[in-house]
Amino acid sequence: MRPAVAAVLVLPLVFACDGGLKPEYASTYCPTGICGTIHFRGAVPDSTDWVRVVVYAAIPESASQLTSFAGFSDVLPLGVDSARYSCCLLPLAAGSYAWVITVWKKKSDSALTVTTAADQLREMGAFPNPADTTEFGTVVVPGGGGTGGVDMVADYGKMRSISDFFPTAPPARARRPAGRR
Amino acid sequence: MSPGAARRRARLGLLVGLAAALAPCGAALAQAPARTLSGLVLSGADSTAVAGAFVEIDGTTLRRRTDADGRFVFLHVPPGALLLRVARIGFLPAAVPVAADSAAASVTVVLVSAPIEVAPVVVTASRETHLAENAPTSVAVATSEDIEHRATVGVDQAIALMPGVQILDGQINIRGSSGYAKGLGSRVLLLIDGVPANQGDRGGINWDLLPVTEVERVEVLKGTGSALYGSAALGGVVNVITRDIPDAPQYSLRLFSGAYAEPPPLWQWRAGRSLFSGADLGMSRKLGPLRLLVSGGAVDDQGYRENNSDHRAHALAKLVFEPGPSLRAELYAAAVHENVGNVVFWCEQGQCADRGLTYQPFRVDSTTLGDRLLSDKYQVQATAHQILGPVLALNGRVSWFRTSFQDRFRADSNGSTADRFGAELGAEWHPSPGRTVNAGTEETYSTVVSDLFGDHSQTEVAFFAESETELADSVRLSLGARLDAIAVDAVGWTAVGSPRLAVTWQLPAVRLRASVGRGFRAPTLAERFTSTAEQGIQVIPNPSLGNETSWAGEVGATTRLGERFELDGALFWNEYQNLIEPGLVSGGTQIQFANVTRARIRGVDLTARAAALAGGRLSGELAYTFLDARDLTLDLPLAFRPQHLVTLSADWQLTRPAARGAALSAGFDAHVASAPQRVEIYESDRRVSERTLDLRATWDLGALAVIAKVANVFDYIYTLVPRTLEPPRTYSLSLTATW
Repeated sequence: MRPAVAAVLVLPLVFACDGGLKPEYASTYCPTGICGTIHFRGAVPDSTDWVRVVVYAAIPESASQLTSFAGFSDVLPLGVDSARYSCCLLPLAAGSYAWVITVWKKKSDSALTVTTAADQLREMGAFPNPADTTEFGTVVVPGGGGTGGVDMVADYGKMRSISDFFPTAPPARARRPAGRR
Repeated sequence: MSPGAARRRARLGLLVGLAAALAPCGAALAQAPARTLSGLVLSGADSTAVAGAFVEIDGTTLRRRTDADGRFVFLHVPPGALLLRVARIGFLPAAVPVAADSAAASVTVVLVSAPIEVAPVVVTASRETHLAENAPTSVAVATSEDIEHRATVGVDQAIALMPGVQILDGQINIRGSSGYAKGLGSRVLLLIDGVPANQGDRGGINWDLLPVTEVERVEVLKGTGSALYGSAALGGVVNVITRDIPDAPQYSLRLFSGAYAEPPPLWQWRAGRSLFSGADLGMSRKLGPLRLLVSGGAVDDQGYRENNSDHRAHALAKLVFEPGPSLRAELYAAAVHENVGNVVFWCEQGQCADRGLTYQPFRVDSTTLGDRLLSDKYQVQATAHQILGPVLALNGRVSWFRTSFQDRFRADSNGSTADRFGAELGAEWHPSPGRTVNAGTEETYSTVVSDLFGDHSQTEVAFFAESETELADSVRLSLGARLDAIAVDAVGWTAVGSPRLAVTWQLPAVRLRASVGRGFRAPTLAERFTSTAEQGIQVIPNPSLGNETSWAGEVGATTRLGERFELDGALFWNEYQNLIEPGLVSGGTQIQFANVTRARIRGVDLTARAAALAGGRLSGELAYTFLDARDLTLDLPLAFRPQHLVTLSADWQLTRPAARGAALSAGFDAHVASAPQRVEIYESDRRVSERTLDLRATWDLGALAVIAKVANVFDYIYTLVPRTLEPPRTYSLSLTATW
């Protein structure tokens, strides 16, 4: 086939290289569990394994309680300004959840266990109390429904070890670190 | 002076002017002896007769189309040597000297095939049938073959694929001249066989008035046409020329049906696909000097969006009275009834079953479900062309166009009936060899009775004249002007002058054209007098609204590279004053139309055509338009104008008709328009570019053709106007039969 002919036949394909409009969930939409949008800040570290939203009924008091989460979301996309999430992979029971956080996991050859969790996991951001953004917010999930608008900022530059939130560790428990409000 | 006296004086002046222009005609007529010239036009490839060829005796009023046997006859042929010009799509234009000294002469013209098929004549560029190569301004043409192969349901869909043109939710935008105002105040004039057909109240265009089956070609004048056509031609002219009626009885049938692709699951609004179908039936015959065409049809479209089903029926009749070669009179009548679901904007979150999405583009606000819009349109026009001699011909026409709509909305219901009456008398005069003068007078009276616009009328009286002179063998100069006088409710006459200067220059390898002219548009009755509430904001009238005006210039060139390639380019520069825009007044509590905007639109139009590639089977066209459209008042881009427009079309002949008796061809049309840099409503909404690809295949059996088409193949979901969805992927199958 001559080049001119090939060019004419290929050109239309170039025109199709754009996605157009796509369905977009509203930030308050949540048919079940907890949903919201994560607004990312900072550069994604090369050592990033994954980022998820993890939900706890109460702030864990020790490393052994880290696995007592109520649920966690699917892996969130990396390198984006914001990402919508819905939690959780397994259905979240109706109830009150006092700590909804974005968790970063470091790449590691070791498996994630109770003993390695404190080393491999970091808190990137948490859902704040709308009335006092210096405090963690509690999310109530109704029976048979969900709670949307659980939005938070997650900063790759201000990640903290999970163990920092244990009662023995400073700063005082149940307080959000400064600078992410 | 009272308004009535002013109007009488204006009319008297126009009559005196017309009489002065026509005064020398009697002498010219008296000098013309009765001589005839007959002839035959043949194809050089196989010596078969060429029907429908345009034949013109240069420098005279004498022009004809060849009949089914390729023959033509001219009466009143002037003495001396003549130059016969012959043109037909698919052939190179021919110029044949004829020494017609005897009382009756006969000539045979043999046309050479041209791979590049360009419409040979245009009428819109100068108000008379003109060889396309001499048109002083840019004109794009879509032929009936183009329209049939593209299997479009409406004329607007065919126009939307033409270079430099965009259709925004039904509103045409030529080279960025128009933005978007829901069809109100079109800056493009629609002509049907040369007769204006914009709405009398809103000034918009009803594309459904024109069944595609009866269209011979569509000419789009890309630039201001006010010097010839007055108001509404500020941004260009679309002239739809209906097909001629053949000598032999003819019947035509068109059936089409199709389906829209289902939306993505989260956007689905109904179970299954939406369907559409339609039929057109036509018949024509010749009865002595009379030719009659009657056609009718219906379209039933479930719509690709919620609440957008459309039921339409149309009828058309055309009567041609041609007792001899000197007189041709036509009566054209069309009627359309439509019942369409009303869609203003798509559903935003909370307005419908939104499934948690920020918007549902295929759905509408639930409170508007069931809203319908009923409309009727009637167009009646009579035209006459009388050749009084080789140097003088007269044209006249009268027309009536009624548009009537009735809302049936849950919230409220409004109705409007507008009538537009028109009349024109003009003359074509060739006072000396190489010179043509077109002059005439035109009068329009529009009236509206409406819940929205009140009861008002607008009168427009105009006089126009243009002289075209052949300065040398290769240079033609046109100089003309039009004077329009406008009154609203029979008072407050204002006058506008629109001059134009144009030149064409044929060099050995390139044909150059240049033009500069003034344009204007009078506000429509709707823009002056709308009084309603839109989304809780009161729209108030502005009876003192003034005319929009412009200065527009263009420089263009066309060249052929061998037999297979043609390039055309144009630079255009338009300066607009007093553009009419809706704006907030009274502290943002009310909307009113006002003359607020100074604007500049400049750009480049480039078109490349190729034919007879790939062993003679492939032809194509690539066109690009760059627009720099700026609101000089706000120092911002003009709203709703794309900066880049690209169209690409190709046709591939898969079989040779002579070999198999049937022709199979395939083709595509791609259309790309960049997202507008600015919009005036919902500015924060995401804007996307337009990128569509249509594929089509035609199986042509001569009297029968089957066309399969997939429009928007990639199911690209996009908008041209905020919150107004364009069609998704659409499958259709058409069958046309002529016998």
